[in-house]
Amino acid sequence: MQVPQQLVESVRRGEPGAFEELVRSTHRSVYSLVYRIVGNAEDAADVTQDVYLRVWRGLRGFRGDANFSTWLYRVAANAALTFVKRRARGGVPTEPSELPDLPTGDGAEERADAELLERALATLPESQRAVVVLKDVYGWTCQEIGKQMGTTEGAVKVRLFRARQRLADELASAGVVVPLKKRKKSS
Amino acid sequence: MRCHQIRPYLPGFVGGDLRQDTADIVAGHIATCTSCTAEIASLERVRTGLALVAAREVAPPAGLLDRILERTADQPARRVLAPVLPFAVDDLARLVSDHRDTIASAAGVAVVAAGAAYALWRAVRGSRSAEPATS
Repeated sequence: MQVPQQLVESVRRGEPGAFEELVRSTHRSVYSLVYRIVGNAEDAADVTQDVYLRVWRGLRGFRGDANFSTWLYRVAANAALTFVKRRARGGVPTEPSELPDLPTGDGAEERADAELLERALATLPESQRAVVVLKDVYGWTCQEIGKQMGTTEGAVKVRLFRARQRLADELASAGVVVPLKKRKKSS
Repeated sequence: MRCHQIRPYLPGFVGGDLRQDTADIVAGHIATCTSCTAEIASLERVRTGLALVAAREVAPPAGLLDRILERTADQPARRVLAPVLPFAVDDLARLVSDHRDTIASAAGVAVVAAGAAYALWRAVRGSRSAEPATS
């Protein structure tokens, strides 16, 4: 997601139509990130709306020295993590809803893996899902994730490693890789 | 080191998330273990696939764009309030909701502290009034 600096400045100046253009050009990426953290379409839509309310209120305070896309992703991740935390406290079960419609790949093996993994992400426990999405999909550091989630870097790594292992198991159960239990024991 | 001791560290090894000394031990093991090497390949495939996930977009539900624009269109009053209040009312409500346990604990501590201070004040005042007058 790349947002032209000129568009950001137009929005900050309150130019007519600029905010709408910003939303049009970014809402799919923002929704995708939020969906991957909260795990279902209905909640992701609500949180995405909340993200843009926060952006609307906070954009004038946005410092131009930071990358706008990074800032927007940070606002989105923060809103999604806050939602997940509140939902967990309320005892509401996390039901992965219908699987999203995904664009079909070009047949390459890696793209097939990505599609499978996208679906597998929705089945992870939400604390593991948030960590692996932010680290391995969006490239955050464990330290950043820990700060954002209010936990330690070590706790983030534990969740991350479990999530990666579980996703590898999902690939194995889908027949993409050979399951560990079927491999010859070597030591 | 045996496989069952090494395997919990393999997901961290593929991402370069282990301490160097731990990574060295894992590297030493997988250099001679075909089973763990295969597991590493599987985990690498996960990492490669996840990196590609970012470029994909999940299709948002129909009407989401319109709902976002409608909600933000209702917001001009907040922009007027913004210079006056350092936060929006919704944000304050959310903050209270998110930290209600902490706020309740702090309120409890404040009540206990106030009670203790009052008791101390009463005790000091009582002891002063009980002192015999000196001439």
